[in-house]
Amino acid sequence: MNGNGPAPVKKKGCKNSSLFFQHFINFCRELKKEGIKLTMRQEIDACRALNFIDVLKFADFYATMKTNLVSYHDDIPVFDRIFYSFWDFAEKEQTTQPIEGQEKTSPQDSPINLEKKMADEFPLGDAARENPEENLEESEAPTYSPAERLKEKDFGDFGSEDLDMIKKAIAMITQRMKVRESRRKKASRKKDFFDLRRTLRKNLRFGGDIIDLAWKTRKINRTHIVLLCDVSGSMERYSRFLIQFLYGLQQRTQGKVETFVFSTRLTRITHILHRENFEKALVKISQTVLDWSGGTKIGESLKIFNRKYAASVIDRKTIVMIISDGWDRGDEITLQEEMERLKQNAYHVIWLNPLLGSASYEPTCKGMITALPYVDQFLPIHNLNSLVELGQTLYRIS
Amino acid sequence: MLKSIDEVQSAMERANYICERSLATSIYLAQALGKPLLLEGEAGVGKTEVAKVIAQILQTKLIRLQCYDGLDSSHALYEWNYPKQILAIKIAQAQGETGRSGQDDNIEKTIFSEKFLLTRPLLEAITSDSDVPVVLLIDEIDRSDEEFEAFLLEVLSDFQITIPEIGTIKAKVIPYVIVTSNGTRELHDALKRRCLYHWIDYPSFEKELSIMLKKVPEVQRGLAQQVCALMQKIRTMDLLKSPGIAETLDWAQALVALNKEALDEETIEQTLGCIMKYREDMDKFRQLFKATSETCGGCSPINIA
Repeated sequence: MNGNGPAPVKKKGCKNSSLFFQHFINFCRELKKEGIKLTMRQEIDACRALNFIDVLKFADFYATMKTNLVSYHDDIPVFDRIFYSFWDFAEKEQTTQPIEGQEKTSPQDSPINLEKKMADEFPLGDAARENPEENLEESEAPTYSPAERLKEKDFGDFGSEDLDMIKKAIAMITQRMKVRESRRKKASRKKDFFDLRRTLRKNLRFGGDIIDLAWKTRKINRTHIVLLCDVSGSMERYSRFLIQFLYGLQQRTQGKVETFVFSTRLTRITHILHRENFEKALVKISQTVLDWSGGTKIGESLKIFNRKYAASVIDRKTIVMIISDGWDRGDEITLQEEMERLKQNAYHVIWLNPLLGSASYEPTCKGMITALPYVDQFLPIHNLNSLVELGQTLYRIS
Repeated sequence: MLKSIDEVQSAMERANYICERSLATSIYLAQALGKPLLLEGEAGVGKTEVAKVIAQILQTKLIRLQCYDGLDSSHALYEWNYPKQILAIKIAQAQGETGRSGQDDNIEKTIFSEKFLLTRPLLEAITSDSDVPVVLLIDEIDRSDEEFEAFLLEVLSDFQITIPEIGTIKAKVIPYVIVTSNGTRELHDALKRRCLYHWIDYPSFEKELSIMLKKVPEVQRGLAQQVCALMQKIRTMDLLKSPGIAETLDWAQALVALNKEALDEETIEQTLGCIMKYREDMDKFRQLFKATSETCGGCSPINIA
């Protein structure tokens, strides 16, 4: 650190520092616009932190802003992009490649140049200075990171080369949905564990002699998930990915998820997904599910589900997720009856429709119209962002 | 007290911890602002080590709370010493003081006093008497459950703990809090926003090399370079568990113990267990190894790495 004290913001006088804070507030606004959530406390602390560092050192300024304003690893590329386009930055080429560890090379390379620029009232990037809102949007295109592009990309357009990349992303998302058995204990009459603390309290009135015993038992997070996944011809574009999704979800929730696939018939695949690795599971499923990519009879399939499986896998705390585009060749009345039955038995019915992702989509096909009144949540499932949304919904209702 | 980012960085280096300036900035600001520091990153990138090194630098006590599923307040905050309480009651009884109502209150007051309290890590950190703040390490918080996070939130925002039988205990000196997470699940938003955040990535080639030369001084430079280059390559593979720095160091130590001066196929095969912990990963690695040596006519992937 150079010797001229840690607080150049203050030294440079009131005018410049208030100008800086205006820029800072605009900067935070840009971050929020791009979906980085900030609390007032975080913004204030970011400003407080500037008193402790030498703000003329670009690397320190960057690290300070980052450690205060970023709370999620996923947000780092977004933060970097906005940061470098907002604050005038000599090495412009870095904005296109926001990689970790760049702070090593970026600041010290041209310290004089940067310090001079920083000293000039914290100038904004050329683009941002004149009309920040408009121009920032323009500069967005070239800095769009691959990860973000992937988040928006339709699952139907994924090639086999993308599959590995989304595998990791899905693993992350499913982890957020993890439904777990709580090992926390609660007071109960069931005699699983001895509750010494409550016992002692209860027996104080007997002068320390233990007469009444208190017990506790495991508190169980009883949310179960049942997945019913359409693998008929119209869903073919998505089924590769969907199986991946089902697999990821089930592997991570360890037996708390029951998975079925259907087209004209219904097949239970829970045991396959549970035991095999993904490639083996895929082979086994296509062997087991004979009518893969055939027509769809949602009503009939639900009927089988309700008769054969519902009693054992559904209770009032079960969330049922149906993944289908709703193109149904079966009987409407059956579908209606079975949806009604399903709705009665389950805690929550979520219908995931990949077509819902396109703005022009309206649920006009017969199957969808019939089923919708019995659905609690109607959500898209066409790209990674919609999965994140699903994860949040699950977290909220379970 | 650490007075500047430079001081943090050089002190960390003296303690054999190579740290980037951005991490040093976060560590310094955590202390300056009195905020907890949340370190996230893959397993084995040296998150826990940060807390240990800080405690060593500040020459203060390190209080560690290892999180696990089901961790509750009686293991993290405090617990009453039940056997001692029972004994106290028995003694009082033997002295013939119980049985009469009115005495019960007295006993209750006695047995629910600080004398009968077992302090667990969080309470210990808050009640610490030393003038230098203690370092409180809350390790692998993603392994605990959401309910635990909720009461941790109270502790970390006000640095106080409420015990119904005694009252509220406030920290005399705000401890230096380091929270680590492997990111196996998302932490609660409110908790994240209370903390400064830093993501520790896998080290670059240069960083890993200098860490290795520092921590395993017996290793020869050429071998160290080979190992680090290969590690960089391995981490780009899609593995169940990517090896961290800890594995690299283990491997280097193993190679030194075997008196190896350079990596060759046989040596790698013998010591693969140091860096790969799953059979699937080993198979994948062998395949890649084979494929690369075939395509470039016998030259080993170690050299192209």
